[in-house]
Amino acid sequence: MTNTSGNPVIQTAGLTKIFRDFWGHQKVIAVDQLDLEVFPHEVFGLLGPNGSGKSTTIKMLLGLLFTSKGWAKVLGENPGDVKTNARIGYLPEESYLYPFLNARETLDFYGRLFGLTRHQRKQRTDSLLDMVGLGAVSRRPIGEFSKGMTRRIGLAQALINDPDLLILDEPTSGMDPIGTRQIKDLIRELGQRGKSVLLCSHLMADVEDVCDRICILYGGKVQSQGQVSELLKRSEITQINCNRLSKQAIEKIEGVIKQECPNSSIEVLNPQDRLEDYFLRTVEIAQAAAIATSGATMGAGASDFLTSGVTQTDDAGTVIEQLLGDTQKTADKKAAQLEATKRIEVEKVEKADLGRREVIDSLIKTTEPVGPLKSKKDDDRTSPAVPLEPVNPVPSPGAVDHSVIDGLLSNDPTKKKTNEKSSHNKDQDPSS
Amino acid sequence: MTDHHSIWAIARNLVREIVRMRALMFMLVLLTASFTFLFAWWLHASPGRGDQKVQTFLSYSLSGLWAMLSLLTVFVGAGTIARDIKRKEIFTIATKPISRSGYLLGKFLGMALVNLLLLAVTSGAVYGIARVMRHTEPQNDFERDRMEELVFIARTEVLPQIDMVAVETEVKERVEKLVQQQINERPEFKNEPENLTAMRNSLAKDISKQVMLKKTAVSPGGHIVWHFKDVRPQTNQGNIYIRYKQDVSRNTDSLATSGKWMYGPMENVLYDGEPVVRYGEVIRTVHEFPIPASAVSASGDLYVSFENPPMANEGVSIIFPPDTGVQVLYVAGSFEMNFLRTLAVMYLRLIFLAILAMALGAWVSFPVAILVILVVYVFGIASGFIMGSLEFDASNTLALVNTMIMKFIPKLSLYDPIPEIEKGRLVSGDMLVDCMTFMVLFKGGIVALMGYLVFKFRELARVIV
Repeated sequence: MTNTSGNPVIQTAGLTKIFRDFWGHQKVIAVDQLDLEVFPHEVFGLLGPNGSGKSTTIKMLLGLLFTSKGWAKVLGENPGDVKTNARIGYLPEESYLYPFLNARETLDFYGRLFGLTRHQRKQRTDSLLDMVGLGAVSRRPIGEFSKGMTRRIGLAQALINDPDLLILDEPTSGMDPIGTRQIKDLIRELGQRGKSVLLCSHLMADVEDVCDRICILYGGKVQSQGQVSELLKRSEITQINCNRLSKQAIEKIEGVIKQECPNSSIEVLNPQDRLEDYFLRTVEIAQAAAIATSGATMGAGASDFLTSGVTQTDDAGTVIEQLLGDTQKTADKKAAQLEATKRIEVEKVEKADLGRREVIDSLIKTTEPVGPLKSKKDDDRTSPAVPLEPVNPVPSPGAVDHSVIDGLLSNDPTKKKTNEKSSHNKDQDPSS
Repeated sequence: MTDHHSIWAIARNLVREIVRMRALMFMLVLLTASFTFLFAWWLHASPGRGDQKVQTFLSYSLSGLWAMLSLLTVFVGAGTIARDIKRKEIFTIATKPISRSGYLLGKFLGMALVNLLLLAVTSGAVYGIARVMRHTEPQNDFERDRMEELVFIARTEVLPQIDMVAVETEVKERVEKLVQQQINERPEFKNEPENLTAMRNSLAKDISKQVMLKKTAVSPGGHIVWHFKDVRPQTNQGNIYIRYKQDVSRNTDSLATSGKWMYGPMENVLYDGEPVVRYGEVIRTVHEFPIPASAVSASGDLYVSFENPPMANEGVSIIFPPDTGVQVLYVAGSFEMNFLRTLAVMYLRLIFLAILAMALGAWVSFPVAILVILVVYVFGIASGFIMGSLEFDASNTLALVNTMIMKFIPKLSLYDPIPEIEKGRLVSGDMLVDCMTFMVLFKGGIVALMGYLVFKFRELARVIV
């Protein structure tokens, strides 16, 4: 549950933006009476279709546009306040960087704008370039970058000052799946470390994966606002996830369910992996085989910049805390590569064995095979290098409820014990 | 957090941006080579006097470089901010801890640095080539002496004192007399104050020209005495120069005149000075002869007289035009210092253009900014001519309005040091100070303030809904 106590980092009341034509006539109301509060340590999503006023809201919060009515406070100050800007990181909807600078010079330039010392700039630049996977092309002018690579360096510039508040406008726009995953991982990490993130996107999956709370805009007005877990919860359906069960066990479970809820429909499915996960594993393997690329590589994860780059040296206590030590990080990287290789092999075996299987491995929610919590767990499973703590401590709709399984199998002590163990294992190792 | 890191970052970035405009850099190198090395080579291969070649080289190369750098300043200055806004790079800058004034100041500093760098490099080439030409171009001692006396020197000029109070009094008396005559002939004229004023202005202009000509004309057998004040040669050991141009009341057959000049203290001029007789000097052409610097009194006073011999010039009056008729020239500094002052004035003019370009770039789009600057630039170059034209009909209301507008246009023609250094004339400290004070600080300050206010209160993002 997000902590909504304390002073909001972003607060608006009746925020309105009216665009007028040359003669002062009202042309369009882009944002209409927006009341918004974003709290510390919160990842807040601003959702809406194109033209719903998301970017306009962000630009008003940053002082790039002036408000027509209402007011806004960012970190307790008026938008555009120079001192407050030192605590904000901003990634616009496109990166808008100088094409004549190379990646390293770009980060150095923005570091200078923040008054960072030469040492700080160098350390942070190195770490951020590693983090966004552009270390190998750091001397190439940004004008020659692909859109995704430009987004990556854009994200890096937004983090150069170790911001307290990160405002991201369509952060995954134009990114490949690797970059998309990295950004989502990073946002989650930042949220865990106490940063506030305002994320603006029309990509539902992105927002769902990372945000604690969201606000949906349409026509410049708030249509819905609240905790993601609460908004997406479907309490009329029960979903049980567990390790592979035998055919007999499944039949017993189905029997119990039919007894309890005679009219309920039951659907037992094998969980399907997401294409994003499969793609990422394939790239990981290619990278492990050291296949050359002229583009971006897999980034080293946020910890590169946040640990060795800043926290341990000059910015202890002010920079995002250390996620992992270098040793742990290196080990995790190797483990990730090994894990990915293993998974491919396991998949091959499983596919070959699929026709002979007599039991359905797990029970999946009937209406939404890929639920919100599942995606979060899946994300964790495919990122063993960064063992995240749960972003949201509230049990999610898709979480394994051991008591249900216990109840269902209570007449078979052996199975009960086995399943308890399996559930326990799953909690410990989400990738199992 | 201090802002100077951010300002310097912006400035540094602009320098980097300009240096990386490869096409622009290529053109700059090409044009600089054309204005300096290639032109000097062409002059070397051409016939002509050595001093004239160096004069031509200095004038052409400095003018060419000035035009090149001013265009660069205008285009880059207007483009850099307008482009940041258009391409939205301003989003990632304005959201950093830098004020809008800091951003503008950073851009200006960057532009000033680039101008300084380019001016130093290109003018260094000009100076180096001029130094080489000083040794290679003179074909004989005469040319070498002329080059040293006319080009590689910094001489200043002093104009004779004219009793303007007496001139104005005489003009006023004659104008009132004529107006009174007119009123006597047409009494109703008295009730037409606008016509009376117009007539007075017109008469005053004509009569003052007559009076001035009368004061600078020498009838056959007559003589004229000029008083030069504040003549301060660096030393009284060398020479100073009398420079003059003559016109005649009626063309002589030879189109030339002769006369007797005397100089020194008043008593020398009137009684027993040593005369300098000049024969057969072509009319409407500038002439010059040296006199000892010791002729100037300790207080800086010098008297010069001219006598029109009655039989020598076919009985015509000789006229010395009021503005360029007679001057005293003396050495007031070295060529090197003069060259530096020339560069300083050129740099100040570039600074003003940079301020103007950036103020407009922060306000309007790039094409509009360029259009406005080019209009101002052309008016600034032609300001002397335009102001002269407006003064021709000063009573006209429209002309008055135009005059007021022109007062805000920078007088680029007034602060042009290139003709001065070309002729070996001193680029005065007054020109430098005036240029700095009136053009850069005053007019540039107003323009910069307007640009800043517009930029501060404008929205940097565009309408996207």
